Amino acid sequence: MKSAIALMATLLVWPAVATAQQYEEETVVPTPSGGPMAPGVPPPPGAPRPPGAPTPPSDDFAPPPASEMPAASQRPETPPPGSAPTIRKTDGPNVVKVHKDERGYQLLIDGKPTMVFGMNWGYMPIGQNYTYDFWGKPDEVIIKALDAEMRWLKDMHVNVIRQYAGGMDGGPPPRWIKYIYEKYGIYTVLNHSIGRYGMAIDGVWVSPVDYSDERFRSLMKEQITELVEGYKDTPGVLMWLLGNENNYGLYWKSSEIEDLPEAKQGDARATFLYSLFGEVTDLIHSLDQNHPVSMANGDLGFLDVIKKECPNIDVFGTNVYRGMSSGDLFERVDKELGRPLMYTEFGSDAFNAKTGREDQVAQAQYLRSLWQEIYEQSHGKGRVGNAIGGMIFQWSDGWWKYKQDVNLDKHDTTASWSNQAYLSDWVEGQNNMNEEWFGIAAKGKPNVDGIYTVYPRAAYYLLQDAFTLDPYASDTSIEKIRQHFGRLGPRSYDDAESRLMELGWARVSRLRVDFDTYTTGGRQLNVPERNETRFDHTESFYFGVEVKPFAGVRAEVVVNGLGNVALNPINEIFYENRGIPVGIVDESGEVRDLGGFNRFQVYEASFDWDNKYFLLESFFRGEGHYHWGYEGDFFGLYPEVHQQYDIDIYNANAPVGFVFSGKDKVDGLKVAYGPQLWWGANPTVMAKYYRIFGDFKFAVMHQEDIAQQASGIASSVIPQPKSRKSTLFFGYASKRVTLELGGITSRSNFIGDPYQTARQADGPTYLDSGYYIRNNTVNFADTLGGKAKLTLNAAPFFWYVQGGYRGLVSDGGADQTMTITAWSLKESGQGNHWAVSTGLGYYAGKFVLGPNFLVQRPLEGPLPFIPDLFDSETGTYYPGVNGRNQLDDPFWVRSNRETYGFELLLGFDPTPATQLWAWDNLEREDAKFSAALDFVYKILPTAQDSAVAINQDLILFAFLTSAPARNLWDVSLRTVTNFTYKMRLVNWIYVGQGQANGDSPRTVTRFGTYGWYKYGTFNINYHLKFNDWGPYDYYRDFNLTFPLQAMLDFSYALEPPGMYAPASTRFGVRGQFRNLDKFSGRYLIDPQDPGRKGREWEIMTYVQFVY
Amino acid sequence: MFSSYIKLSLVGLVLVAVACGDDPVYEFGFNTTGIEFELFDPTEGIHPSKVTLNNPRNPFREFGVSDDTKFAILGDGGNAGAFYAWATVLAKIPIGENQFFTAVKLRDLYESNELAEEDRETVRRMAVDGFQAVLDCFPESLLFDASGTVPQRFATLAYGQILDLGGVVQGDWVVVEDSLGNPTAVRSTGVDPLDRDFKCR
Repeated sequence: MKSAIALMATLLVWPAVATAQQYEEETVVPTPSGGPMAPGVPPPPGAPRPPGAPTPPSDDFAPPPASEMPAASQRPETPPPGSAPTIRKTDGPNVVKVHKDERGYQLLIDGKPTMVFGMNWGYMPIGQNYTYDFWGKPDEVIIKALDAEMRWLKDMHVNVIRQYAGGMDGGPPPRWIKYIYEKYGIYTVLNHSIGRYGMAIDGVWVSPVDYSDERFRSLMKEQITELVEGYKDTPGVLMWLLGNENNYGLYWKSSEIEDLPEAKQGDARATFLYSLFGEVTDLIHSLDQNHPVSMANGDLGFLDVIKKECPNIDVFGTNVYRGMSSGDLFERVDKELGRPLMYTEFGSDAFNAKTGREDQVAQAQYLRSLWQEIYEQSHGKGRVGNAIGGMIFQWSDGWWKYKQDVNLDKHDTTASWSNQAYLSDWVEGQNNMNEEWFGIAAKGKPNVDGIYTVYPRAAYYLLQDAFTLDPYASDTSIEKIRQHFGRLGPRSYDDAESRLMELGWARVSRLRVDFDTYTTGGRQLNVPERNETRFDHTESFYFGVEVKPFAGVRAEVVVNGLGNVALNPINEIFYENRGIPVGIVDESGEVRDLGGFNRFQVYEASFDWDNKYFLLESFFRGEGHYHWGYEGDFFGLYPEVHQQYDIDIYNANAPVGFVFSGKDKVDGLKVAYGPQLWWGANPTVMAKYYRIFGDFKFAVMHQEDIAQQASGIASSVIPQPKSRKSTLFFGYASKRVTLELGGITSRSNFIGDPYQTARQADGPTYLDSGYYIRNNTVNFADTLGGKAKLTLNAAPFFWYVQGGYRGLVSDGGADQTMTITAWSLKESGQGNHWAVSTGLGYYAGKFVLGPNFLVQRPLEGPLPFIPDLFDSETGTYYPGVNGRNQLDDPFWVRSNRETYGFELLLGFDPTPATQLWAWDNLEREDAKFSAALDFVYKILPTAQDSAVAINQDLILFAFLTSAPARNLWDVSLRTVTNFTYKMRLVNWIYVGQGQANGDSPRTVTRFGTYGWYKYGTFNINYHLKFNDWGPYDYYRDFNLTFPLQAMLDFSYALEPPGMYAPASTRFGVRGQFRNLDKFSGRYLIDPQDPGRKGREWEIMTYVQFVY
Repeated sequence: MFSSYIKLSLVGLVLVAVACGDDPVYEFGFNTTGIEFELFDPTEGIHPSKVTLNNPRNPFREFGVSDDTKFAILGDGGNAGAFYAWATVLAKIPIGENQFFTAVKLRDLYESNELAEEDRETVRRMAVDGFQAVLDCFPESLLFDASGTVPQRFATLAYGQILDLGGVVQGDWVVVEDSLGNPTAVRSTGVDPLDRDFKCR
């Protein structure tokens, strides 16, 4: 006990003594290297301590678990130097000054010269992206994460982290900065991005921002004032940092800029940027005299403008990626700006794009060289003397960085930019910088709290040793620095614990085991055995192997195998049902079981080849692909494919094919080719060439079907007739106006094909139908179409108007792009129509209001149904007239039916960073509550032509007629509620009217709710539907509805379940119940009680393991 | 100047395009009894061939003949007219009934001497193949009588027709007596041949 008290006393006394020493003098005059110490100068680290002073503990908190600790041989033998201060002010702000003398610059923290051993640190679990709100998590989660991460940083002797803060960046609340500082001695640089990635102005997101816009400049100053006032007295704040490579984002358009000669436009924009930086710097100085102001410039861009417009910046911070050495960086900054230099980002990725392998050694070599340079260029070494440190980019890998919104749980190895300075993997014409591999630590998958383990790379351990050298010790000379760094060989660290296995030549990429049981029953079902209580089970296994034999080459094959396949699921279409035993009736009338076929089959496969000239991506089922709507495919010829789970149940081998994306001299060229590039596609080849010239865009595209797809999979994806299509697109985009124009010629192979039209008439008509029926043939004009779209950005108002004319057969595809907001009412992609649509989006802070209108009319309307007639007396056959259909006719009226539509979309979203209508919003929305209400009313004055469906023998057929003319309305409300960070409810409520796809005249008025509830790893899915169609296409085709459908699914998972990736390691139970009536399939009327409803139910249990 | 060229080109393009169109023809129906059969393809009217939809001699190829009408044509539409009507229906709705009666009309054509002499043997073989397609592709199809309640199997009828036409039944088909003592054609092995999909799709 005595010793414990003594230790506590020691801990309390030592900082007090040291603090008194630190504040003895305001101005510190360091001595020349090796010279005698000036009076009043505090003892540098490593200098003899006052007699009797105890040795300060290097870590006054518990060490990390042994498993997370580096090997003893790699741990520092000496306590941290000037990096991690032994004195921590807790009663007010740290006083941070920039000191300059004839030997250079130093940063003084509370009077103590301190080099910035900094880290770009952030907390981002795998599977998340920039919308992840770490600081919004509960305290216990933040503490767990900080304690795990900061301990690693402290052990490395990192003394500074960089954090975005202010405005929409949010950032760490002051108490966490204080926590990190007090517990780990690590300071925080607070970085306001100054609109680098856009800014919400009057509730409207603007990107790129216009630095000349007074509204923006005022908003920045307001936010900076709020930031500084809120943090300036927080212990642990080191410095204010402005922007992040804002000089690389000077693209806004304004008449003021565009009136200038092009050569001067860059400087003009930069003047606005840096004058704002200058004003903000002065503003901060007026508010806070204790912390310096810096900027995160992109390399040395616009040094002259900075000097002129931002003269009072205290520290020149810069993001530099110049390879092993920064060359003349220090000299130029000193000469042209006369400021101390701090890297705000620098470093190297840990992936070799040439070999396709993780490369820890190269990363460590770059960082060793760069830190040696910082040491040598620091105060008092006889060189420039203006280096005060740097912040390594970055702490742990950012799995979200490539593409940012997709493949967030994939550690992408695609190099996204080229940098010749990194010679270890640079090849002319190829990218070599792997954005997702810049961490000096790899990271593991998160647990339910989002907490993950990091696996430091060789660079971590090398720098841990490197930072033991005190840069400001009196005996730290150039020679000593060189000797010290010369001893640090990165190869001696390459046994660092890491995730190298993941990048092995070959690995098991997938292992999934599903065990399901089904208990089912019912009554009044027309299949007798379905009325009995039955039990059955399914076992399904997936095994995948991925290989990366060469740089840029990757291939994966996943095979599915079946155990037993249940015969009784009430949802009878599912992936494994290919293995259902085949029975036949023999001559004696007995059923013989031939056993199931196809017990093993390839589930999916992919092959990617990325090199200097192209990226080749081939896929068999696989991950699918995006549409090209935002890159010149104005008529939607190439649709997106992502609904893997929907495809699975139909056993469809789609998508299958490959996409070639040109680079270098063929940049802009894309070619897709394959037997079924999207679900229901014909074997086709399509090519697109798309280029951007300043404000103008241009694209030309051609699709040539090679053959007709043999069979359909589901009625929603009936193969289109074999055809060819060509489109031309021009676009122009200014700051406020976007104009898009396009032309299409489609299905020229249909020229000469006959078709019928009908005209209503009085008097004698064909078979007394009230119509004249005319036969005609497709001509060239019928293949032509055009579309024009104008979009106006007058924030907070956005407006678009679109008009299109499409000849009878000038079919394209559905428009998959989003205009302003997520309206569902859109012009059809089919030919045979003209349409005008217009919509207005008004963003009023947290609210969005979006009315939208559509007028659409087919050029030739649908055909009426007129039964055929044979006159036996004359032998004359009068052909009947049926609705056209896509199996037999060159064109037809379905989605292009006559429509006068109105839509009103209302949104409420307090956190616009997670856009309400982003495709992954349901997973990412971070507001406590957000909602989207959509109301659609459609006047449909005519019927349609006939739909095509698939009968029980999987044969395509066309209905004779269609659902009748009928006005329809629909309302849906989607809400996302985050009760706590672990508890989320995504819910839909809908009510509305709908028509069958087939020929049923019955209009269905349906309503219900469905959704997804998550609490940690506990998951509930549910639906409760009244008078709605069943789960497959054919229910709507044949207008089969159930009075009631209910489903409740509970599961408990190993990891937090994802909405878009339902397969996970979990177990659960699902209950389903349906009432049946005369409109339901499988229903058998009870003659004793004709009004009695039937029912079917299922209890399914499942255990699923997923690797 | 440049914009004038563009305008002129566009106007010209539209005029040319519009001029390419033919005048529409009004629909009035056609006589079926005067239609003559002309050998187009030996698979015409035999599932899974859909060649009849490309036969310019087939006046029904663009139409959907309804169930009621097809039986009227079967009796009074003339052998050739009825063949084309049923072959069209078969191509669009491949079921046993449509295959059987298409083959019946081929048989009638063969037996009625409406054919060129050099085509008679081919048409006989087509009729045999048509009945064989009933066995191969629609072995379970049923023929209902007027009451709609007592089914007969098309397979049994087709089996007899093949023999009547001097053909040889392919496969493991045999005729046995059912529980009522009526002859019925069944497969001797009771096994649905694995090549059914190959033959019939």
